[in-house]
Amino acid sequence: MNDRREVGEWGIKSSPLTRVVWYIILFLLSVIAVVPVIWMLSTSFKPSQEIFAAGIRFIPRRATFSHFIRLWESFPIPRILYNTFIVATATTLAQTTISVLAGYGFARFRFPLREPLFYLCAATMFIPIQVIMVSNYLLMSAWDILNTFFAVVAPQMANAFGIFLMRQHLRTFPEELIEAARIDGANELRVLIQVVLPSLKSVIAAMAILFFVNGWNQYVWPSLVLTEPEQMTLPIWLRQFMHAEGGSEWGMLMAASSLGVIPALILYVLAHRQIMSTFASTGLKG
Amino acid sequence: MRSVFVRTLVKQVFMLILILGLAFSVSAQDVVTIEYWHINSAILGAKAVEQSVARFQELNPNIKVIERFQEGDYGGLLNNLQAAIAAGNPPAVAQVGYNFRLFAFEQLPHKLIADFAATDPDYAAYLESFIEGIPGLGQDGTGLQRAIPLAISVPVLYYNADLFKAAGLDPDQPPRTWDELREAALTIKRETGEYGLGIQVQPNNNWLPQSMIESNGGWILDPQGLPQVSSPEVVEVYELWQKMAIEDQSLPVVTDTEQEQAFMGGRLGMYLKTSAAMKTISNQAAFDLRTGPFPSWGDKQRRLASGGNALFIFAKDEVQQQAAYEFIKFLTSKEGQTIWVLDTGYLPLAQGVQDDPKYLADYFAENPLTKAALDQLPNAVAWLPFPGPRGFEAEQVLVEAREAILNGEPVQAALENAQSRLERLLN
Amino acid sequence: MISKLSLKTRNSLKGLLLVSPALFFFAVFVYRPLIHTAILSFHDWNMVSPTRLFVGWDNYLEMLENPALGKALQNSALYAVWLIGIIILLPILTTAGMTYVHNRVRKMFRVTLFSPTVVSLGIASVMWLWVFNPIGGLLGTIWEELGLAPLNWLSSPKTALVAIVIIVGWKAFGYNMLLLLAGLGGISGEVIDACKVDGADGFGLWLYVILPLLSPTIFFILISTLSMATEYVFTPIHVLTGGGPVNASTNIVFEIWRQAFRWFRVGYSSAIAIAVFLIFFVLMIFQMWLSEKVVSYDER
Repeated sequence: MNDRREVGEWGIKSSPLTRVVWYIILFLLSVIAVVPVIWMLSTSFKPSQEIFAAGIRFIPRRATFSHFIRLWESFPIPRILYNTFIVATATTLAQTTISVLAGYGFARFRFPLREPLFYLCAATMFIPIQVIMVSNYLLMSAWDILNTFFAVVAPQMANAFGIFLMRQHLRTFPEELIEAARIDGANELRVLIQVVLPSLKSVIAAMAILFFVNGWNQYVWPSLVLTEPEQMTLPIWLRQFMHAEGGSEWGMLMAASSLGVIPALILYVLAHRQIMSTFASTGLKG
Repeated sequence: MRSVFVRTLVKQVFMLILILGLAFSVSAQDVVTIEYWHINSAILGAKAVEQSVARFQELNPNIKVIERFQEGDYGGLLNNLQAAIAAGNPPAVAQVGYNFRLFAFEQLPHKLIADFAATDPDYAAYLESFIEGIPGLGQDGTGLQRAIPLAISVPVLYYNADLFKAAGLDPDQPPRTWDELREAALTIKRETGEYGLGIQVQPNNNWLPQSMIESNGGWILDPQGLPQVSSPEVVEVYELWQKMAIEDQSLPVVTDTEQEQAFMGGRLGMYLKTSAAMKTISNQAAFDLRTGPFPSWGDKQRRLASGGNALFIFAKDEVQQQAAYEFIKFLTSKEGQTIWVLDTGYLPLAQGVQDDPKYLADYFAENPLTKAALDQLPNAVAWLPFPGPRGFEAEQVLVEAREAILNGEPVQAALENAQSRLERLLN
Repeated sequence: MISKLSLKTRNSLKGLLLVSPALFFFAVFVYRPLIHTAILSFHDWNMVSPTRLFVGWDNYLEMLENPALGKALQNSALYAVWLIGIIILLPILTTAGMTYVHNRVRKMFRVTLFSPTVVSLGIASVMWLWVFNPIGGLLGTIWEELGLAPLNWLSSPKTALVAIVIIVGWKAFGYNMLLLLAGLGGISGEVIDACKVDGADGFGLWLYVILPLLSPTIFFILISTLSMATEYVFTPIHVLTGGGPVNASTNIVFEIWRQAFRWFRVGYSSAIAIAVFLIFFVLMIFQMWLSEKVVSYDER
């Protein structure tokens, strides 16, 4: 259990040809992955009249910051980013905590109705938000907490994906280690935090990244409960630039979209480096 | 190890306090406050709304207007409105798209504009200040004034004069009839290799097709409310459309946003689209953009479906209702309309405002593009709402027929099928 | 006091305590509304009318004779099949491939391949609209260069569904790859060494050792893909095709949404939602049951 090398360091036998083929495949997939993103970035720097004029061009003929400047002047961008960050962070913390606790409970304890209760939890991922949102809106309204970030976060604190994922991983955790810690007199929460979680860091981190990304991008529910302009989040704000009746301003739309994607991407790269470096170094100090 | 968790814990608690802190914000009220819901996004009218509200508050210091942009167009606004009504907390004033007009008349509890006739001595004069026929867009079948129209757009012909020249067509003589239009589109395709014509299509309504059909003397629903989509006039419309798409290959079968991109990129010669897009298109087109009237069928009278919205009062409190009425009157006044038109490119509804040098005369002199739309206003008719509990579904039937036809299904059969489905859904 | 209870009871209580926050939030914010939905499914209601007409099983019976709904169900299955290919098989392959490239390059690929994941589906749809546009879009231009007839990705009944699949696959691919990489990170190098001593290496090592060790993650991805196939596709459908042309790209969530929020037939929409939920519930239990036999929850 102590040996956590990077996957590439397993030294799995491979011929040079296999490796070349993989380089090519991964490179092509990477191109598919980034081309639309690059188009978005490049469009956001093109003057409005150049966007569609010149066929496929990734480097603008005359780069301009005009879209960003217009956005910056007309909207409280830092405020919007801050709101989005708060909502995404709060969602991530709540979802991660509850997922770990419930995953541990379902994977490691026997209690009456455990299986049916787990199925009920997991099944919630098949209930579209459109089915339940009006009812939840009325509840928030009755509680008089519309237009609060709490109202955005509360209904999604429990997340079926997270609970399910945690249960899957916690089931494979060696029982002896848990028992050993219990015998040492540690209480359950301590066992979970000090013994179990460290070995699941990579999975929890991956899960948290996904929660954060989803929290960062969510718009259906927030657009219903948040109507104060001071509480606007990025995805709601972005909708301003897609307008069916009046057409779209592509430069503005893409500049605004870039403002939404870049911070999330930077956070991912930072978090990712952190996570991957912990993979190699941390083992269990059992 | 432990310190990391302590730190995370502290962070979590901090976050929680922060969230709770943000959750409670109090606002004082000493004047009448009304909420106004609109779809005027940053690229279409946000500034106009802001300016109108500011000016209105200046004129009426005892009324405070809180304006709220609603995302998702008229449909999105309506959904949020339904939720707010169900929660007992509707906005005082909201825009309702003309396609949802009938639904709002019948289903959403609102304060009638006609009710103000008793208390407002200027009521009759106010309704007369509109261009003739316009108030009708806010009336139900019995002629009762339930709402006030705010925005009107009509379909116009946008065209690329550079492509016209390249194809050897006269850019000063845009096609006037559908025959000329088809001919011009074919010429563009033949001479330049680019598509000749795009027709605005949307996956959930028949706004532009309605103008094509009614201008040809046909009906989607006749004045008695009966579906007539397999009549020869309607068949003729869709047959021409299909021929341009499949036989001539001069009309691309793509989504509307794709056509918009293609047109702005100079790869589409002509584009029949709402006048509401005038501003975004002219901002992004890198060629000699011009506009012309919607083509007619021979010498038949044009009938153009009007897009846009009407203002409804949803306030339940009497003081708020009165304030809402004042606000609506301001938005549709000459001054309000001037602010509105200058920023949005929508058409003015108040009589005389377009020729008045105090208001919009300069604007129309400097913006010949908008002239084509303005000239067509007398041909505007109501955007057809499908009646009954399954009306919206009925609208989709004709959308599906169009999609099938443009993908090659025989016109007559597709429309007959649509006709029988409509008859079932509407009775 | 707790210590007086038997070990078994104490364990039960602890377990229940751990899962109780999740149960609480699901009960209040998912199942309470769902019960409300179930009640509505027996009514005819338009969301705002003060009167709800009780119609018994009518809404459920109507589902049997609605062709668009049948199409939506069929498409949902198609979406699931396509997405299983693109966001399960392909990530498994690339995750394997990642172990064959140099450390530094791998780090780069992790960022490039994951980058679509941070893009919201709304933005992704708009970006891909440009890619698909046959007139001057990326694919359109490539097609033109190759001398092929233009392909109307989003407006042809033959390709609309595939176009939506590509968008969702593009976005969700990185999710699953990240989860698989995290799963690999949980496999001890010692295990691999031990297997190599036993003679397993290369392809065999992957097939017989690593994949089984990853099977809990893979099973999770399978279930979550099923959910994505129904819910993620909603946004691109809504933004780009509106379910068309002629219902070629519609799916069950879009149908539920359209009935309730565009056509205001809340009762009927509720009936579809309940029926679909029950179908998925049964499917999921079956999968879980099956997985207990197939997935190796190796208690090392």
